[in-house]
Amino acid sequence: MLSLAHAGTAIASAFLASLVEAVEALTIVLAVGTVRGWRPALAGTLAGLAFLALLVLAFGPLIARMPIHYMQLAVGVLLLLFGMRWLRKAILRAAGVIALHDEAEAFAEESAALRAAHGPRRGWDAIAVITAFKAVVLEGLEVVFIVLAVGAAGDLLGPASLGALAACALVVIVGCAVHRPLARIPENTLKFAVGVLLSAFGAFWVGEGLGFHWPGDDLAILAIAALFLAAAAAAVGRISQRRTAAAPLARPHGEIVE
Amino acid sequence: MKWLAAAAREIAGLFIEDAGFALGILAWVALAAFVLRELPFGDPWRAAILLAGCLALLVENVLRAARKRPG
Repeated sequence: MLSLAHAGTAIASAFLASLVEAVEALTIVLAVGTVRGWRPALAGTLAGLAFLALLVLAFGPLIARMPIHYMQLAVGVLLLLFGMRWLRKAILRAAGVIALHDEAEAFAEESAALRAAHGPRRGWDAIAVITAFKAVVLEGLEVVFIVLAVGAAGDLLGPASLGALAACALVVIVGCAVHRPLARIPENTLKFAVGVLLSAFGAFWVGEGLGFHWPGDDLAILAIAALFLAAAAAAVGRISQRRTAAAPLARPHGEIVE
Repeated sequence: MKWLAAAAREIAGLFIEDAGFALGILAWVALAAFVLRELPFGDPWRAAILLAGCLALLVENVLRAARKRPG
């Protein structure tokens, strides 16, 4: 039987990842609704959600049918690649190496692009429907992968899907209430947390798939996550320290002082 | 066919951003599968070495990326 540590981290990963991606999708859907009308925005969103649900229903049972060790290894490798990619980007953002994602800016850019786009704004507005559909599908693909990976490998497809849906519902409710992009959500902190959790799951499943024994069994996931968090925090500290030490050497116009 | 290539690029992009980093992770997993499994370590050590390699890859990659992009 799966431990609470395993189930809890799987559901938390799906919920937090879905929260981040739903916020990004909401920004574009809001831009479509505001500029081109709410009917095509909703049509594109619903079509996108239906497509994502189909993916989960089609691939979930298929993954669960694979032989357990191959499935653990395959899912583990994909989770390591996916989770460590998220964590790498979150570390670089937290240390100020790359810019933070700005929802207000993304909303302004998308709105401007939609205003400039030609095509009918009444009746069947294909540009608006496709823009909303693409936003939901592209952002949702990452959530679908996480739900399938943490769900199928741990026999938690239902709870992981519910976690993801709960986050979507939360974002939609708050988005409808405030009627503007959710720029105050600490996206990078959430991405940092999801990156830590998914990397921990990845390492755990790769180890299981290779037949390595983790001390503490499922509880090891929490210890692995703590080590990923400690390493990531140390890296952020080290990079920030280096950048602070280097900053006074540069004059405002970019001239380097010897 | 264009949309199929675009979809394939999107899916690959979910896992690969820095090709060297992704290759490093794959190489480390392959090393763990073919070499670490054969070494005469006890069980908890194999898992610990696998994890230590992943952490080292991550820290080395972000420190290198930060050096390449000075503020």
